[in-house]
Amino acid sequence: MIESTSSKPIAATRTTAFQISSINRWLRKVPLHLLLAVLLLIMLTPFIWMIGMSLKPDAEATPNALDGVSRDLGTLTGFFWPKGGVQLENYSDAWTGNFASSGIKHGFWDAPFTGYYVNSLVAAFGTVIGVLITSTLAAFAFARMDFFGKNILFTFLLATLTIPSEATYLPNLVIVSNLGLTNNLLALIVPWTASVFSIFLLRQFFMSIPQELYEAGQLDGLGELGYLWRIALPLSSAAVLTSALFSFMGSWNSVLWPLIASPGTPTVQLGLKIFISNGDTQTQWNLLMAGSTIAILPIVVLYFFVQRRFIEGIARSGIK
Amino acid sequence: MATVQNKPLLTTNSEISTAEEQQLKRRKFNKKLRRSFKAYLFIAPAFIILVVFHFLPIFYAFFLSLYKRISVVKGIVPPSERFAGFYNYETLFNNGEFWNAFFNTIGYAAGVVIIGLLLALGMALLLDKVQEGRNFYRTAFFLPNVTSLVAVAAVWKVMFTSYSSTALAKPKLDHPGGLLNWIFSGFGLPMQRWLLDERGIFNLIFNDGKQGAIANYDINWLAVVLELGLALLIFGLIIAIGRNIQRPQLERVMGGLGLLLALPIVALWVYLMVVEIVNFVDSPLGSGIVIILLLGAAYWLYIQLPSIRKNWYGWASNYSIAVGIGAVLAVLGNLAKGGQWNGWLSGPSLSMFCIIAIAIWHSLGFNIVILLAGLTNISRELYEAARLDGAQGFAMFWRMTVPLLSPTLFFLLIISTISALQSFNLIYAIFINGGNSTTIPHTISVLATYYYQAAFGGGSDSDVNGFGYGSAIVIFMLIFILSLTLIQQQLLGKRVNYD
Repeated sequence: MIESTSSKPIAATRTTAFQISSINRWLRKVPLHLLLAVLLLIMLTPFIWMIGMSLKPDAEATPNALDGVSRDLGTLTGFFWPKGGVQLENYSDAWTGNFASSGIKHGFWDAPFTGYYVNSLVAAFGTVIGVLITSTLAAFAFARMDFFGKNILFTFLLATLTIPSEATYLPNLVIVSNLGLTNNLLALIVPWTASVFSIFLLRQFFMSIPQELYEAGQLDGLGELGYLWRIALPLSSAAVLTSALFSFMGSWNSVLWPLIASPGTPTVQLGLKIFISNGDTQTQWNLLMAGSTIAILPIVVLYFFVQRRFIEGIARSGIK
Repeated sequence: MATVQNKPLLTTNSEISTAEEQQLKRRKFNKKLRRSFKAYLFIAPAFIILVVFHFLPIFYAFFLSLYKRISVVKGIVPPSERFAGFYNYETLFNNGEFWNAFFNTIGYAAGVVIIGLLLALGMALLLDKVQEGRNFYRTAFFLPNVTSLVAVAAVWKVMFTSYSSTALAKPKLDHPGGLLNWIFSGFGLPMQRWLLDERGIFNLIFNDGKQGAIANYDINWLAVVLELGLALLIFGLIIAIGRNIQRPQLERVMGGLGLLLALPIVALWVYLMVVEIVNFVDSPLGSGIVIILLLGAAYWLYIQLPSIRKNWYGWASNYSIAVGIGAVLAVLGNLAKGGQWNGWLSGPSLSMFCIIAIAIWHSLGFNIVILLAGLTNISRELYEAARLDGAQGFAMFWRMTVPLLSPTLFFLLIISTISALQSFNLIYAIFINGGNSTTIPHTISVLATYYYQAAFGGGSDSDVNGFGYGSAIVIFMLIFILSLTLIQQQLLGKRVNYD
C-alpha cells in the first residue's frame, strides 16, 4: 500500500486531489517501466531472433546475414523478421529432417523428430509420475508422522542435495547396464524418480495445512492415503505443479545422462545435437532454429499454462 | 495410626503411578513403533531410489576409481588385474589439463554466481517497486530458465558469430558477422571474435590483446608474487569483512605473527603493482580505472581506521590467514599449469566470458523470482519504522534489506554455486563439432566437460581416460563441492540473519 519510491512523506500529497496524486504516482513509475521493458527486450532477444530466423528462407538465414547492412534501428528490426515472406515449411522440413542437400524425404511417422518426441515425452511423463508418487508419500511422512530416526533421515535427505549428479552417472551406467536397461527408456526414468527438492517443497506445503483438517479427516474415517488424495494434494496444487514441471524440465532438458545411458533411444536434446552436428551437410540455420523452437516448445507451453502457481511454488521454496 | 495408614497408601500410590507410567511409556513406545513402520513404508519408495541411484553410487565411484584402464564393466567388480590403488589420483594431480579445468571451473562459478546474484538483486529491487505488471515481468524474466541450453546455445552461437573464422583476418566494418558485432560496430566499438577468442578480457580491454592467446613464458616469479598479492588482497578483504572475533588472546598472538609475515609481502606487492601498472596498463583508461580503484581502497581503509586501531589483532590475524590461503592458491594456480602462466591479471578469456554471460542469462530468472519473494516477505512496517528513524537510500538497503534478505541470498549462493560447479550442457552444446569429436578450447574446459571427455570420450587405452580415471575426477569434484559448501556455511552462515 505505502509507496516506497518517494523519500518525502506522503502527508503533503494527501491533501491534493486523489486523481492528481494517482497520475503523479503513475508518471513517476514510467521511467521504471521503460527500464524494465528494455531489460525484458534484452532478455527475450534470443527467442525473438530464434523464431525470426526459423521463418526465413534459406538465403536470408545465415549467421552473417548482417554483412553490408546499414546500422540503424529500422534495418535492425527488419532483421528480426523475414523480408522475403514467412516460410513455415521450415518447421515441417526440420521435423522430417528434410535438408536441402540430403535428398531424403520422410513422412510424419518415420520422421526423426517424431521418434525423439515420443522418447522424450515417455521419459518425461514417466519421471513426473514417479517423482510425484515417491515425493508425496515421503513428504507426508516427514510433515505429519512421528517416527524413529526422523531427524537423521531428514539430514540424510539434505546431504544428498550436495551430491553432484555427474558423480552418479558412471556408477549408474554400470548399474543400469547390469540390469539390462541400456538403450531402454526405463534407464531415463527409474534413476530420477525421486527428487529431494520435491520432497522439501511438498513437505513445506503439507505442514502449512492446519492439523485440525487431518484430525477431522481421521474422525471421518479417512486414512492417510485418503487424506493425502482428498485434502492435502488439492490444497498444495502449487507445490504439485512446481514439482511436476521441475521434474519434466529436468528430464526434457537433460543431455549428459541420455547421451551415455541410452543413445539408442535419442531424446529431443540428443536429436538436436545430431541435427547441429550433421557434419556432411552445410548447416541450414533456418532449419536448425526451427528445430530448436520445436525442442523448447512443449516446456514453454506447459510453463505458460501453469506459470502463476509454478512461480509461486518456486518462490515459496526459497523462503527458509 | 495416621502414619501407619499414610505410609502404605503413599507407597502403593507411587508404585501404581510408576507402574502405570512404565506401562504408558511402553504403550506409547509400541504405538510409535507401529506408527514408525507405517512411516517407513511411506518414505521407502523415495529412499530406495535415492540410496540406490544417488547415495551408493558415490561409494561405487570411489571403488571404480581404484582401477585403471577400464571402459566397460561386466558385473559389478572390474577384473582384478586392473586394480591400481591410488594410481588414478596420482595421475590426476600431475595432469596440467586437469588443473586447467579446475581453475577454469572456479573462475566460471565465481563469475556466474557473483555477477548473476548481483544482477538478479538489482532486477528484483526494481521489480519490487512496481505493483502493476509485476507478474508479467516475473513470468517473462523466468522464461529462459525453462528452456533447454542445447536449443538456446544454437541461437547464442548465431548472435555471437565472429567477423571471421580465422584469427589473423582484420575485421571489416561491412562484415560484422553476428548481431553483437553489428551492434558493437554501430556504436564504434571494436568488433570481437567472441566465442573463438581465447585471450583474456582485461588483456583485450587494457592492452589491445597484445599479450597473445596464451603467454608462454617460463615461470615468472615476479608474476607469481604479483598474483599472490592480488589473491591475498582479495581474500584478506573478504575475511576481514567477515571477521568474527571470539578468542582475543589467540587472536593477538596470531595477529602479531600475521603482521610480521604479511607486511613485507604486502609492501612488495604494492611496489610491484605500481611497476606493473606502468608496464601492463599503458592506456590512459586502464591506468585511470586502476588508480581510482586504489584510491577507493585507500579511502575505505582510512574510514576503517578507528575500527582497525581498536581491533588491530583481529584484522591482522585474519589477514595472516588470508596470506596463507592466498599463497597456497596462487602458487598452485601457477605451478599446476605446468609452467604455462597465462595470468589471472588478464582475466577470463573472452570466450569464457561469453559462456558466463549466457549462463547468467539462463539462470537470472530463477534468482529474481526467489529474491523477489524474499523482498516481498519483508514487512512494510519494518521499512516504515526504519524510515522514521531516518534511514534512507543506501543505508536503508545496506542495514535493512540486506540483513533481512540474507537467508534468501545465502540459499541462492549455495544452490547456484553447486550447480555452477557441475555445469556441462552449455559448454557441450556450444562447442559441438561435426561427428563425435567435441573439441573444447583450453580456456573453456571445465571439470564436467573434462570428466565427460576422459570417461566417455572414447576408449580406455591410456592413463588419462576410462571409467577409473573418470571416477577419480568425480570423487575429486564431490569432495571439492562438499568442502566448499561447508566453508560457505562456516564463513557466511554465522552472518545470516534467520529471525
